[in-house]
Amino acid sequence: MLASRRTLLKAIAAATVSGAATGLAFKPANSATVGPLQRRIPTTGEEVPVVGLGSWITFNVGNDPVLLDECAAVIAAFFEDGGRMIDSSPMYGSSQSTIGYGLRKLGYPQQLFSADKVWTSLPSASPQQMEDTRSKWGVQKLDLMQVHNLLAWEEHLDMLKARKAAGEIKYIGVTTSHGRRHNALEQIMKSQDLDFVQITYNIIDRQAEARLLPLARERSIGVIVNRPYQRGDLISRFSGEALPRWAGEIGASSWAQFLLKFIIGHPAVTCAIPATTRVDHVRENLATAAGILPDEATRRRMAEYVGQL
Amino acid sequence: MSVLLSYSLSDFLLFSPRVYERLFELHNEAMWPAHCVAVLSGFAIISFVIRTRAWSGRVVYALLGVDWLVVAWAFFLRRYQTINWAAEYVAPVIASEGVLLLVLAVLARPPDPIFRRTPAGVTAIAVLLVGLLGYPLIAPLSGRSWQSAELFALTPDPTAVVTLAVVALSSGAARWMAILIPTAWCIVTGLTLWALSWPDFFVAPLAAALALGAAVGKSR
Repeated sequence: MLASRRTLLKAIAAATVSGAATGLAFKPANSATVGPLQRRIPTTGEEVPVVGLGSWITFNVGNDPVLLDECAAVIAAFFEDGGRMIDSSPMYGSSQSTIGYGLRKLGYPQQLFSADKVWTSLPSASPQQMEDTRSKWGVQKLDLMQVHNLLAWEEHLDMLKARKAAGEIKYIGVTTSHGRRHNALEQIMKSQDLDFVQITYNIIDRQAEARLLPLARERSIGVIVNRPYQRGDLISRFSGEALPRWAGEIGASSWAQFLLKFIIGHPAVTCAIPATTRVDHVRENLATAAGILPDEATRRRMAEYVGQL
Repeated sequence: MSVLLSYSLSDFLLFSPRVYERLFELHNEAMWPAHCVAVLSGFAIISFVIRTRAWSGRVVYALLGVDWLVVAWAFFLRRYQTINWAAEYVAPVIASEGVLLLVLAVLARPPDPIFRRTPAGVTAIAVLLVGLLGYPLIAPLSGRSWQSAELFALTPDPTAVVTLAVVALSSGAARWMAILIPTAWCIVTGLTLWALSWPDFFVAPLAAALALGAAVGKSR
């Protein structure tokens, strides 16, 4: 069933109130100008826009001056439109340096929420890797450090907890992608104190709905969603298909918006991190988070519609 | 193992097609005017293969050895490594092929590449010409910029193809040692270009297969 705009706004308001208890909330970025909706990080209550910026492949441009400037323009547009969370990893080639290049050009915007990862099978190598990461970003300290793809997660997580306790990082988490190792992730979520998990979740890859997303709410763990468009494949796949007539009622005028609204409409999702090389796309992503979001019934309808295509 | 099998080829790709194309453009810009030396080196190899002299094998293998070292340093370490961290680990392997070719060049009886009008010889010389003359045309014919053209001795694909062709034209058991790394690279580059959805993904693997076939045919 599709909710009217008024109903949805009421639902958003209700969620904001109830979110105070659960640590999850919807709130516009700015009441005067329409910015992206904000979600609270469950462990601290700090708010972040529900749409962030990924960097897998898109920001791996080496030392190409033309492409570096293009990426910097994307980062600039991201901040201009109210974005905060940028996510990267040592695995992503030159992406960390590209982000650092963009941040330097922009004078290190205060609103930056930096999210990166530890990616090494050698625990002894992680301190140097984290220092390299910080240096490439060019920031004093990183906000969130995650264990990439659960690689040597026990050792890394102990180290990250110690660093968090020492105030060197604000948040810690673990990541998976492509729907892999959900059983292991579930056990970690149950047994460890985490601020964030990062998982793949989109209108096709919905395995996380069964256990991980409810568990994240139960355990007050923030959820970062990677591969929201399956690296663009979902948009390509559906681009020849018509949007449902009712898509406009949830403010979706393109498949990108439709797909992203499905994800960020889930109340357990703290931030989705689509990656892009285009300024118009990053603006569209953030604009998607500025509008109304589908309720649970509408999300079911969205998934059913896509399932029929 | 099941987790590994759940990955697709494109999951291992770290960069976009545009970035890879721009990589070759920047490489060509940075290497100029080394292209003149590379072209001369290529023509020298053709010349020594067609009009054999007593020391042709030494010259051809020495030229190839130096070319592989140039590719290892200039392409893998200085260029490709900026978008693919694995290039740092591949570079020593590429360099080892260069060293191997140089060692073959100074052997008491170096492999001796000679063109003969046999099916194997004609196939190998055709592959050689593709590597030297055909490769620079692949980028513009595939819809990419001519500035991103790949040239023998400066980029790995044509260098590997030419090396395999020379090995196929050569005699002597030692030549087989030089086949492994260029063949492996042709497979890797084919998979990379396939993942990038580039239409020329088949060129290097096909050239390698033809050269290997010619090498086997010549040895019979």
